[in-house]
Amino acid sequence: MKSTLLALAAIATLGAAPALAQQPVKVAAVYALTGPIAPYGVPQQKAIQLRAEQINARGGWKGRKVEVIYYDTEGNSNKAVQLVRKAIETDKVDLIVGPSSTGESLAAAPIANADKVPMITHSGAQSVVDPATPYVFQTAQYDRVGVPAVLKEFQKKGFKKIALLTSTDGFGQSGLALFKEMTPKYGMTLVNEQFNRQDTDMTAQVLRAKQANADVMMIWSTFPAPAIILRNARAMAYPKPIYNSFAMASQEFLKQSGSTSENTFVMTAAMLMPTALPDDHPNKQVIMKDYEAYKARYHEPPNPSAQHALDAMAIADAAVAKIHGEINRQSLRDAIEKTDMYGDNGYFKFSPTVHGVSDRDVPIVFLKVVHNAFAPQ
Amino acid sequence: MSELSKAYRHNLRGLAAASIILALIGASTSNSFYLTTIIFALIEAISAIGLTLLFGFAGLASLGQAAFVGLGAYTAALLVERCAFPPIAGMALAILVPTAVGWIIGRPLLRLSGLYLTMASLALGVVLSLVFSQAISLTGGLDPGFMLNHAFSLGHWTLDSTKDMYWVCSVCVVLTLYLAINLIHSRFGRGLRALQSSEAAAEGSGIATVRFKTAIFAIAAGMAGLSGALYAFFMRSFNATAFDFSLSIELLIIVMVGSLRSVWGALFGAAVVTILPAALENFSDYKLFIYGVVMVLIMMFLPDGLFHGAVQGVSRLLAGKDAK
Amino acid sequence: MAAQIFVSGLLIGCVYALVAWGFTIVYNATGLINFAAGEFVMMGSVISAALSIKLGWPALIAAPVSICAVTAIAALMDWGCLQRAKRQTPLALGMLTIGIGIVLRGAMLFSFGKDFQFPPAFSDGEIPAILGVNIPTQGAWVFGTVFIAAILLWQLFARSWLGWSMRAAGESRRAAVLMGISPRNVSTTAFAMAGAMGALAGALIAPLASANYTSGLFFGLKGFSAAILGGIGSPLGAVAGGLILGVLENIAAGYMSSGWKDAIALGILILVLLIKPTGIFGGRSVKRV
Repeated sequence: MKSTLLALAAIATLGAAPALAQQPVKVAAVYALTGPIAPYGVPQQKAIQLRAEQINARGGWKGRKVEVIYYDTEGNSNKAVQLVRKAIETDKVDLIVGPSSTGESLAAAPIANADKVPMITHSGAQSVVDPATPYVFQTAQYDRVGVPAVLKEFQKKGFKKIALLTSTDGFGQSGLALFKEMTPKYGMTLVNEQFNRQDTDMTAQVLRAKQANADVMMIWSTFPAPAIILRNARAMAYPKPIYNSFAMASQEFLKQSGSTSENTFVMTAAMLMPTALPDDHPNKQVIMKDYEAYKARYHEPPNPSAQHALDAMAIADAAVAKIHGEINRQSLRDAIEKTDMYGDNGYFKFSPTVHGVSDRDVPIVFLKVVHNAFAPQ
Repeated sequence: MSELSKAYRHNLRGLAAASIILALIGASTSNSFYLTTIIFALIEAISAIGLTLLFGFAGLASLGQAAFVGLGAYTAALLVERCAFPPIAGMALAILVPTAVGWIIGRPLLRLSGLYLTMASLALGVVLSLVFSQAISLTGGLDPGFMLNHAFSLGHWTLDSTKDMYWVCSVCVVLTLYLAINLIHSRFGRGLRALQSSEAAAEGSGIATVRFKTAIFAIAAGMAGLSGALYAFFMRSFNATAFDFSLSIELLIIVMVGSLRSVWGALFGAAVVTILPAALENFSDYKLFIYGVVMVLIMMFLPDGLFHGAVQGVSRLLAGKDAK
Repeated sequence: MAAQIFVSGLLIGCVYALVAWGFTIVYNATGLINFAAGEFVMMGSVISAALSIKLGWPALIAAPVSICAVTAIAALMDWGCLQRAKRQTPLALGMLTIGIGIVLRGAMLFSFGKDFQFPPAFSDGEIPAILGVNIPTQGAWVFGTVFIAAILLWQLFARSWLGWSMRAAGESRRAAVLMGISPRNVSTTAFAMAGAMGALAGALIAPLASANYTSGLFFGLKGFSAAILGGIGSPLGAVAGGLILGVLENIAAGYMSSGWKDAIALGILILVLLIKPTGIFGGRSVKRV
């Protein structure tokens, strides 16, 4: 009798346990899917979808499926704040990936900390994770590391004076601030011209750059301005080399600029062309694998912005393996803080004081545009 | 009892009812997503109340209110963050500075009529928005923007949770409505209404039209400034994109959708404009189109505003019932 | 450098001029401010870009087709929405055009997507520099087309029955009705023309500036500024205002501060409004209180 009861109890618990384990792990993907930064948000959405499929194909996390809920912030901080709250309170997610931009991340970060939900942002600003706050992490790290990478490259090529053309929006402003701060440290000088990202003609700015006799032109802006600047530069036979920021590291840029980008350079994360990395680079394998997977799934090479999202889920995936008990907000956060792995953005070694990617061996390469395609220099 | 003072008592009763409703919402809601959405609606409603007075009562279509919202936000944020002002003082100045600026700008501007005033307000709004974006040392520009490390506080009480900010915004809305209602039913308000029907006649009766218009312009600016301060204290981290031309348009839409005749419409319009996009979230690429269609339908068939249309619909229903 | 800046300014100024003229036509015929004018430009550029890039149509076919489509949409906007609105005051209808602008933008978003498209120029080849001034090939098309369009429109308004009836309807609706002119038809025609001109501007500028569903606000603001600068109500003023605005912006970018050029241009506009509100060429008096 007792043994039957025990057996029944055991069966009942076993029956209940899978029911509990069936509950998916909910991940909120808070990205700009429409609006001015959609070109960077949409690849991130695709990346998360790819990762979720990869994870679920393996059986999910500890038998629980990964369910991703997508939120479109339109690149607007107000919406980002609202949607993060919705994700946390109404949809009760366990993990947040995104937002895509700095403004949104800065506005949303305090919410993640107050409500104790781990958030892995894709902003490139140092201020989001410095000083490190308990629940906010960051996979992207361009601003702090990208600018010195450019300056080192220019130094190598013997350039002394840089004509920096920046857009007046947030992206351009952050680039300008960093260049202003760091250029003198490399013994170079800077002249700056600005334009509205939506302007239709930058002839005046290009002329001023020409007049200033700079050795190189660096364009720091998102779409569509760089293609217009290249047209203007071509029209007046601008003689010096032209570089674009990682914002132009995509097929979209090649399509928009056509022949005017010929022989210009682009700074990019290696994700755009992993083969450009030297074989002994510690991140090359990871990047190649993700590149191939994305291409296989979507029939197009990934926009490098996708790598922030790929890394976020890879970090979460590695973290789950470290969790011994239940997967919840707290256990995820604690496990993420112990991350030690190579991702597409670089080397991640998190600790209570370090919540961003390391600046060691950052996989950034400089590519040249030849015959309307990217090629190693 | 005269018609007007009856209306005044109605409005006061309405205010009491609104206060009770806001209090009930505050007491019963703990979901911070809902609260956040309502807070955004309340903040915009305050600017919209001012714009209703300006647009609906004085007939001045200002397309630059966002500039005053920004002015209020940065005034409060700068004084609290960099000059160690207590938040309540920052908020007070966030109201006074835009009011003063509104008065100074208003005097020359309001000599223009209709279209030209609209254009000038538009240009002014864009210029100020550009200044906010470019004056990086002062405002943080667009990146990284402004970081307000001090939460709103009254004396010893720090009011930084979502619920606390809900109470602060609700109180501000009630106070703003009270001010608006009293304005409308004062001699000033009667002058405004005279202005609305015929400027020439008003001039004839000795009403200094420019002075009136400037006063209402300044008041609307002050209310927008209060909105801005509340926004700054709520968001804590914000940048100049929050105060661009699309905010001015949104405020105008709130008034159009709400009511051109009554300040209550501002609350209603703000609710619609804030909640509708959230409800359309699932429509992804069709969101914008659907939002536009709803706005167009309201403006076409309910030109006095959705609020007014709703009120009329309800009263017709009730009248119909009585007739039976 | 000065010559190049001047010519580049004139180039974009031509585009502003077309938009401003569209504004003026509508304002003269109906007393309305058409806040959707910028969206006409956007649609002209997005539709012609889609036709040339996705369907591979030559630009000289894609552009006219796009212009026809936008003209029809603009006429529909007036006939279907503005004329059927319950309240027919200029203020209410002006606000309605804001709403319609949003609808148009939303429609373009889900119809053609969010990408920035650069359609090919109307013809290939490069123009050699003249006196140190470089003009892109498409630039020549802009100048040429706008010049011809301006002459045609001028003739239309000054000498044809259509032009007279539009001016009459604008001056006094009642008198126009008594003369057998239908204000409704005039209004629809005015919007159709504004649509055509805006779309032409959009199709012309798309190869140089890209086509995207968000560009409407930008062009609307510029066109509106140009119309006011030159004097709204005066077609000559609209064109002059557009050209002046383009050149002014370029001068500010080239010689003052490129970061503040928009603020400078708008600041000058505000000054003009305060000193001479009717604009540089405007005639009709503005009520000064």
